[in-house]
Order: sequence, then C-alpha cells, then structure tokens
Amino acid sequence: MGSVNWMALLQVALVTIGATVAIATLMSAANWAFTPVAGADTVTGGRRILGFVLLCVTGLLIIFGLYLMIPYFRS
Amino acid sequence: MGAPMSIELIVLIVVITALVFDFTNGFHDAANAMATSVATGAFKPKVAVLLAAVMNLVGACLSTEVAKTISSGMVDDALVTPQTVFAALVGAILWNLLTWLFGLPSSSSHAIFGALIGAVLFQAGMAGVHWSIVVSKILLPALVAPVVAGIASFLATKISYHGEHNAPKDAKKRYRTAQKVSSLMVALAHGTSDGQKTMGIITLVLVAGTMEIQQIFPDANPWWGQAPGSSPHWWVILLAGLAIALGTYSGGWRIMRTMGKGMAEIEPPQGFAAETSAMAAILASSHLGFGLSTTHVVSGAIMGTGLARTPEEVRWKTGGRMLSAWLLTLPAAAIVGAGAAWLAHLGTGGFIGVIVVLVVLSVSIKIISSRNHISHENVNDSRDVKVLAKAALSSQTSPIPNPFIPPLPEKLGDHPMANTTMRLTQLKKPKPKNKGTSYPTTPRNETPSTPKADSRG
Repeated sequence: MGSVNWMALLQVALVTIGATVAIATLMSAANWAFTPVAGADTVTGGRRILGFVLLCVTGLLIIFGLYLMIPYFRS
Repeated sequence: MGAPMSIELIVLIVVITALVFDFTNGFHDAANAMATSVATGAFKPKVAVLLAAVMNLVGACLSTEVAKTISSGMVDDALVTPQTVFAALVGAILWNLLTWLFGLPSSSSHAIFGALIGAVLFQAGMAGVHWSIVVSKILLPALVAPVVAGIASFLATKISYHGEHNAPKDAKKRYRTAQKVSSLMVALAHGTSDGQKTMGIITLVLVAGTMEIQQIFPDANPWWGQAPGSSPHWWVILLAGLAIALGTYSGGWRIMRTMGKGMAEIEPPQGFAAETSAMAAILASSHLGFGLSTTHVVSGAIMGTGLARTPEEVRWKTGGRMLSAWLLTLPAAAIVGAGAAWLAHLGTGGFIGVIVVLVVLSVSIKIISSRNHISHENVNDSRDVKVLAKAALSSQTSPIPNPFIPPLPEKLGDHPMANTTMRLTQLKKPKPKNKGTSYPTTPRNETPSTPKADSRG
C-alpha cells in the first residue's frame, strides 16, 4: 500500500525535463530565426517562415498541455 | 463539556471554514502562476492577479472529478468526521497565514494534510495514520518536485540564453508574450487541482452530515444533503471556485515578492523556462499518479533558472528559509490541527473557542503585516519581506543597486569637489520605478559607467 512507485517517479522526472527542454529549444530556435544575421538589418523571408513554424509547433505543444489539463477532453 | 452542537450548525461552520481555507489557498498560491510574470513585467501586477483569478475560477469549474477522499489514504477514513475536518482546516488556515506573513511560499496541500494528520493523531493515536502513505505520497514527492523542476528549468534557461548573459531586447519581448501564456496555464492547472480539493472537503462534510442526520431521522432529506459518491452541488462548485478566485485576486503580494524577486533576478526567458518546467511537472505528475505541490515545483524552477544565468546572485538564504518552511509545514500544521481537534471535541464551547482563536490569530497576523505593507504598487520595489523591522525607505536605501545613479570614479574620492558631488548624489531621488521593470543585471566584475535604459521591449 505504501510502496514507492519509483518507475512512475522516474517517468515524471524524464517527462518534465524532456518536455521543458523541447519547448525551450523550439522557442530558442524561433528567436534565432527571427534575429537578423550579422550585418543584415532585416530577417529574410525564409528565416521568418521558419520562425513562425517553430512558434506554431511550440503553440501546438501548449495546446496539447491544455488537452491534458481539461478533464472534459479526456472523459 | 458543553451541549452537543446540532449537525446542521457543524456542517455550516465547516463549510464556511473550508471556503476561508480556499480563500487563503488562493492568495497563498497566486504567486505560483504570476510571480515571474509580475517580476519581468509581462503582466502588470493587478492584471496578473485578475487573470490568475479568472483562470483559477475556470479551472475549478472545469474539474468534475471531486477527490474521493481528502486524505488520499494517509489516515483511516472512518476517523474523518466533520470535527476532524474542521480542525484540519483551522490548522491549515493558520499555517497559510503565518507563512504568508513571512512571505514564504509553502504548500497549502501539505498544510491541510499535516493538520489532518494532527487531528487524527489526537483522535486515534499513531494507528490512525498510514505513515507509509505519508512518506510515499507527501514527503518523497515534496523532495523530488523542486529538484526535478529545478533541473528542467536550469537546462531550459541554458538553452534559451545559449551562452549569452542577457537576452536581446526583441527576444525578451517574445518571451514576455510566451510567459503570459505559460503563467495563465499554471493558473488554470492550479484551479483544476486546488479548486476541486476544497470541493471535495465540502462534499465529504455534506455526505457525513447527511448520514449522521439520517441515523437519527431515517427519512430526513436536508436541502444540502448529499449521498455518498454523488457529484457536488452546483453551489459548492461555484462557491469553491469563487473563494479561490477571490483569494487569488487579493494578491498574496508578500509571497509574490519572494518568488519574483527574493530568490533570483528573473528575465523573461527565465520566467518562461520556470513556468514551462512547472507546467510540465504538474501535468506529468497528475497523469502518472503523483500529486506534486505547485508551490514546491515553481519555487524549485525559479531557483533552477536563477542558477543557470546568475548563480552568484541566487539568494540561498531565502532558499534556506523556504526549505525550512517546507520541512516545518507538516509538523507545525499537525500540532495546530491536534490542538484544534482537542478543543473542538470539547463540545459547543470548544468549537466556539477554536473559532475565536482562529479569528484572533488571523486578525493579529493581519495587523502585524500592516507594519510592512506590500501591495501591487510596491511588490517589485525590494527583494525582502520584512515582518517586525520597519522597512527602509526606498529613497534612502535600496537593496538593489540603482542603475540610474552612476557610482563615482575611484580616483575622485580625495578631491574636495567629491564630497559635494557625493552629497548631491545622495540627495538626488531615484526615478520612480515602473511596475514590473526588469533590471538589467550587471555581472559583478563590471561597473556600469552609464545609466542603462529600461530594457523592456
């Protein structure tokens, strides 16, 4: 009854670290994409598109988090 | 001993006390979602708590899965009577208020668990508590939560800054926007978990009260009555949601200051990293069967992100005080819970005595807090939450170096004009700080030679 579920604890740790690192990487990559290259004043079209795609993927992950959070979607 | 109280009166008192606890839960945990956003300026303070209150209310109403037992198996459920619940709530309220006074983030869940353990210990001794469950469901997660969140936040911060010390201005603007989303999600998650906790408490008291009445009058069906296993009344959901929302809106500014400024200086990318880490931990744990404290998770995440960017500026003293509060929560709440249970079981007089003690102590704490009042107007003005000592005036001493007053060059110290310059510098009032301004952080080996402009994007 009181035994510790170490596997679940490990899963929580790995999922937490993995998800956080993934979202941070996407956000950081999006920021990189929106930053003009050295010597340039504006961001090229390709980098801007890449930035928006990365932001959209980040947003989808956050929406997935909402899906996990709201019981109505899981009932 | 005093005459026994009517069941309806006991139920009414316990329901009101549960709503009061929900209110304290709200302002105690408001900082979990919004502290970093307020500190970095992503949200203005009042807007932050308003949005957090709305999200808490929405979250509380979204969740229909009321806790089957408030004890999660820690204590023998047969011992959980309305009087026991009342004693537990009183213990939790007082611990919440005390830690709020000192600006210490601590777990409201652990407070009520601790108080419940204390009340049951008084009733049934050690046999009434399942200590293995206490270790596996409370103590171990309490140790793991901040560490895991801290590691995740540390890594995320390192990635976000990729070698730089300060984020570029336009990146800060994007991260501020992202922070708004992440903090709202933490507020929503808090509402779904903590909101339904109080609903569960109230529902269980209504069920217990109904069963007690029906033992005497089998055909009785009070309007507030509830059958075991039934869903909570709509007014229970609404009241619990409103109580936690109102508590959140009142701000809990003392704890907000500690979390937003007291542990480490936070920039928007760090705030986003901390909130994201907290969100991931809360969602992962709730789906895999562990209940992690939002407070522990967010506090650990903030420490982690502070370590990643400015390790020399992390305030370990504040962290130590916080850790002490966490370690003391269970035993301290248990002591108060046991005392309240002893008084409540004396009869009507004892019950009233507990209420009087609760009111007197609550008012006393509120009066003491007014010596150093912290509100949405000054929450970012200092890192410290003072209790008994008078707070220093911000124009005379500032715990944070004012970037708008440049220090004198070293060699000027002996010149006769230096004294005049120094006096003028001391007389010059610093510009009023904008709410939520994030201070540009200067590494210790550099001296700012010119006033730095506001770094808000």
